[in-house]
Amino acid sequence: MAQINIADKEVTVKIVYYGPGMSGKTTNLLYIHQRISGKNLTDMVSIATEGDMTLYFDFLPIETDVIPGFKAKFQLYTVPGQVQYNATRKLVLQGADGIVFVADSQWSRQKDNVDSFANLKENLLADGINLNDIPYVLEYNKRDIKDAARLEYLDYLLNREAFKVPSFEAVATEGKGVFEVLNHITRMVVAKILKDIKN
Amino acid sequence: MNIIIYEPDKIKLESVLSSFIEESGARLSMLVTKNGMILSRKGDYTGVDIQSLAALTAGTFASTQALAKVVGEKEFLGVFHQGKRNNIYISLISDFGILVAVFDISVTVGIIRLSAREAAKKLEPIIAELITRAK
Repeated sequence: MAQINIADKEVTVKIVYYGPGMSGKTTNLLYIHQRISGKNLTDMVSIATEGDMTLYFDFLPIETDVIPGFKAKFQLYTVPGQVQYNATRKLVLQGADGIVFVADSQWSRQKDNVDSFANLKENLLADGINLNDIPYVLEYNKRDIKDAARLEYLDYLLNREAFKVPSFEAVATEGKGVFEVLNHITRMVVAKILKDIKN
Repeated sequence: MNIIIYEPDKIKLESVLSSFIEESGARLSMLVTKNGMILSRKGDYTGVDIQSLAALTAGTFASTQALAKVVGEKEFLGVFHQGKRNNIYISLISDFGILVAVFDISVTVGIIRLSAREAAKKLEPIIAELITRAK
């Protein structure tokens, strides 16, 4: 549910980074936060436990000029990935305009990826939203590790909904692929909003 | 469903928030959607990161509502955060948004709560119109 403020010429959208625990969702936001210039950025808010796990959410607002004549405000959120935090995950997911699913490439984490993806669909459905109706992309993170699953396999596991979605390789700790993913999802979300307005 | 705010909506929302600030003595006030987006704001924002204020208050309120269910309540209508110099009061508006008020310790929570209730009555029809239009 984006907010289009004609009076102030502002569009606000919410993008949620979803995925299993420790897959690198917060790392994506931290990298974006480090790299974005000061004037477009306020502080990143992180509600994390001492073990660096996200407890509630991370929040990073950024402003760009992707829509002519409008200031676009993207609110980036992460959810806590750990299975036991589903109640908070549902809350953060509410009203998302776009989703980045951050999958962990390690072989040993494939079940966690599949479970988390199923959990995403389930949580959206609980709000009456079908995943296929919302712009989303897949980020295959940690491509630098030795036991990384092949891309074809990750696609086979996760990119098998009604239609294929864009997927990206990433090493979020080094920033590889992070902005590619962000650019893509923001473009998809903006395109959908413009389409909705025309309709 | 996208919420679209036109100039007349902006004027109406800001007018309610302005009277709320005037009546209650709050330092600043904002109307935020449940997903953390700012619909309208008024008051003194010096040194306040309003985007984070909106995201965190929406998050706080969402978890408060989940807490309400844990103890068998349908919902909590308001949340009060008490500080040494500044306080925050968050109240539910028509199941869609929240009214956030930041006020210093010279203002009592009672007057804030009372004024928030009055503001809610005025905000509800405006919000209802925004939602109907979004659908």
